[in-house]
Amino acid sequence: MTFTQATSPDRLPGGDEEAFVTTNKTVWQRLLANPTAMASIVMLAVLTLSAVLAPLLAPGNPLRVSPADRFIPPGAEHFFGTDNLGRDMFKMVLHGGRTSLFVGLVVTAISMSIAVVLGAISGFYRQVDVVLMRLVDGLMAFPGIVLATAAAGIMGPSMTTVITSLSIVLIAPSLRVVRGQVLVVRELQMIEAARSVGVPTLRLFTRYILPAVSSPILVQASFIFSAAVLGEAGLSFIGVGIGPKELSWGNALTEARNYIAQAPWIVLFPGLALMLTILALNLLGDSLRDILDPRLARRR
Amino acid sequence: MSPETVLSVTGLSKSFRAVKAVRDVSFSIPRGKTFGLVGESGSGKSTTARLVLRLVEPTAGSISFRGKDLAGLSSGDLRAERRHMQMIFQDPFGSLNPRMSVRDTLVEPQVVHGIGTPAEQLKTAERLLAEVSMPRAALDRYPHEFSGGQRQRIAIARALATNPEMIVADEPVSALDVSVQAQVLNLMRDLQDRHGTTMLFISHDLRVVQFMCDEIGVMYLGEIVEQGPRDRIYGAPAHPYTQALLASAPGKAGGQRARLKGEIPSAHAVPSGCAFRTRCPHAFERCTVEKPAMRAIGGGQKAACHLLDAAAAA
Repeated sequence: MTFTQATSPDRLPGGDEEAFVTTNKTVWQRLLANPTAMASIVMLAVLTLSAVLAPLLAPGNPLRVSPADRFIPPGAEHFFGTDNLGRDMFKMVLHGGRTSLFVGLVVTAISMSIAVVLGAISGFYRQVDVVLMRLVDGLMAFPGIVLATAAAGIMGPSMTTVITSLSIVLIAPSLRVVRGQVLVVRELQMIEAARSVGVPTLRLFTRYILPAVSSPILVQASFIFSAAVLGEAGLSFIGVGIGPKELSWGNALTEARNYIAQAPWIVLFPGLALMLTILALNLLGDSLRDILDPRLARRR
Repeated sequence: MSPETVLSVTGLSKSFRAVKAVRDVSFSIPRGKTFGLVGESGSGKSTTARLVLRLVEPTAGSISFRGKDLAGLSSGDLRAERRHMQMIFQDPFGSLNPRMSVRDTLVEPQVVHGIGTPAEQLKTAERLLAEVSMPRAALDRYPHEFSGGQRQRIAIARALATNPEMIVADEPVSALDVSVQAQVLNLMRDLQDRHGTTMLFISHDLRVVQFMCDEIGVMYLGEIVEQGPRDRIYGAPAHPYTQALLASAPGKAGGQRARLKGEIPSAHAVPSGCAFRTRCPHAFERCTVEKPAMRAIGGGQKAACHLLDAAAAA
């Protein structure tokens, strides 16, 4: 290498690839190298698959009552034992996961979509921000459980009620996160540069602002997912959830709590499934944050 | 306004609440020429650049670009007009979208202004890369893979993508290493010659301005205090601020002229009379009470200083 090249890194010999700065590892590569993240992903994959494949893995109606088979401890016949009505807990947990994870997914999708749209608008337009943030303050000051109970009272306990009320409750914190990120991004020079190029506002959102805030949104989504699963379980547990005719982990726990001393496995397995889901989602969220925002990781 | 004048700015002012960032700035740029704004940080140069492009809304004044009054355009018309006026920013790390490849970055201005088919847009992107002496392999790379100078080349290529009549360059080389600065400046001059682009060039670096500009405006506390052709400004500076600025420049023998002392006052509290009087070695009573008017002193040069009145009277 000649002296000129050494002192001026900008001199590009035509087509020489070596002149470029080396590429950083991709997010995916860093995810693979992170044991916590990988463990959470594997755990979530197992839970999701077992829920999706429940009709194959545990065929038959999970709600079928069999009084003769009450309180059978876990064993070869019933992997997770049976409950007070003789229902197979293995079937209950697998089929219950379908509901719990479905509610989590739908609530996350609804609340995050609304939060992203409103948060982006709120962060970008000052006048809208003033109004919207007061509404969010009001929403956050209102206890979610009370709102959900009221909703169940009006609409009757059903899956729609649970999804609606959880979505509304969970919009506010996500909206705050998105808004805060957009507030930072809108001041970046690339936004001013894009405006000077003549990029229209909608394109500014889709091509510049949203990609820049996608990492915190992804992290937030994983926490919202876990909050939604937990929320559904909580609502079902206190009886304002999806109703007794449907199965979910929360519903399974409701009845099980009366027999906790007699047959602890009735509580153990739905509780364990719930706990592992929440744990995996939260750990995944934490590692995603570390991976996507290295500044936060270094500060620790 | 002559037909060859591309940009003409009159009485441009901007206040951010109590802060008067830019006060009554007027200048015009003929086609293909470069007008330089020079001054210390805080003198309102960058704000002026943004006002000219209406990236910041002016408080008062008019901006006539290609015979249209930019200040009166609706946001839609203004956006369409941006095709003809592009900007190069100081920070080559901040002005490019890190999630857009060089290809997307160079195609973007053409897409938003509806120029050409996708195939033509790509061809233009390739041509632009060649024009800024970057290899074609750069097309599918992302900004973080480049050095500062390379990124600034990409930013320049983006500014040229719509073949604009005017480019506003806000300190385009001050974030770069000195060895790279010369390359980028030479590139900008070559491209300007080739395309006949009109340029508004902002810099605090007197040598850079001398190299790039045909006409220069010296700004102090939001005002142009002296204005004229490059050789007059550098050869026979009339305003004490210009003189002090030139004396402070590295590499100049500053012994015979007074160097600048202290710092530029806050734009919150602009001194009465002449804004420069607090640091001026020649200040006298009149400077405190009366604001000096801009005064033509021949050769296209003009300056705002009471000393020039005295010199003319003598």
